Amino acid sequence: MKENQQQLDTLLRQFVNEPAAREMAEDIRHMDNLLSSLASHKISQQTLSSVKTRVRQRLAEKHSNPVRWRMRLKLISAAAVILLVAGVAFFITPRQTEISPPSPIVSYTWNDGAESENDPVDSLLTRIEMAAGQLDSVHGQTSSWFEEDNSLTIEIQDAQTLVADTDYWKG
Amino acid sequence: MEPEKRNQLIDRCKAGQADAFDELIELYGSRCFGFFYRLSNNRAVAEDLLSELFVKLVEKIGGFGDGSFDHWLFTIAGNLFKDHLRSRYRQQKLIETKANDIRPETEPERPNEMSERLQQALSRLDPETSELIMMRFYADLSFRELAEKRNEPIGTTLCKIHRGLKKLRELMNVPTT
Repeated sequence: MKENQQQLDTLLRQFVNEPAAREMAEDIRHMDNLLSSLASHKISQQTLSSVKTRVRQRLAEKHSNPVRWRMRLKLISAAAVILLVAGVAFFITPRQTEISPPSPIVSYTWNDGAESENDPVDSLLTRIEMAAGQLDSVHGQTSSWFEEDNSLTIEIQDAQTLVADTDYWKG
Repeated sequence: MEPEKRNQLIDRCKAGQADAFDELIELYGSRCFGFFYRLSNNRAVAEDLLSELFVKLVEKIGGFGDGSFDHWLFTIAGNLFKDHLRSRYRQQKLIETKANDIRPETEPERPNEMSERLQQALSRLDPETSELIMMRFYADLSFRELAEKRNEPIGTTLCKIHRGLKKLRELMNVPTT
């Protein structure tokens, strides 16, 4: 709502001195009155009717739109459900069908009648055989030791006899 | 119209009642037409903009909350006019050539010589000032409301309107009182 005369005077005095405020207020009032006197605009009844018609058409469109919106909403909901299911399936299915690493024995294969060079069982067996060979050779050495030289056995027996027969350890 | 009755009318419009919109058009049609006509100086343009305004209102009225309906309505009307200016003319060119450029194809009714002079004078003001003056007059907005709407200090708005009105009076050759 426009200011009344007193409000306008008060407002103007906040910005300019009193004579200037009076002059400004007078200018504004004068032009306000002039504009008021020239304000009447005849708007034809035909124009008003055409505006009303357009508004009614727009209202009718607006009323029909909720139906479309409901359909769109259903479609969007359906699409969302499909996406959700697809998403869940994507995250769950790989875990269920995940292939566990095959047992070396099960995957043991033959290639053209010969064992595959890269077969883990092959390499394992080879290593076991190597280890067994090494053990055999070590065992052979130690056996031959004891067979060839009995002095070590005799020394041990002597020491055991000495311990059993004497009390040298008591001081 | 009493504020209470007007609020009821607005509520009915919000509910989408066509007869309520008819009443609203009867109530504000003339003022809004005057606003557009004074700014555009063209009856056909003013009628188009009036029609567009109320069609827009069908969409927007649901968003109207508390506050001055007039202020809200004329803010939309002002924006509509600015859109019109942007779409049809380059604003700078309009300032220079508006008087000759948009002379109405069909000569509008001229109630009297003074009204014609006002129309001519308004068309020679820059669009911002003429809109400000028309907004104050047709939307019945106070300086404070106008300043708030424009996001500027009230002193600036006061100064612009006062300068605009003085210029308008000079252009209309209206003697000082």
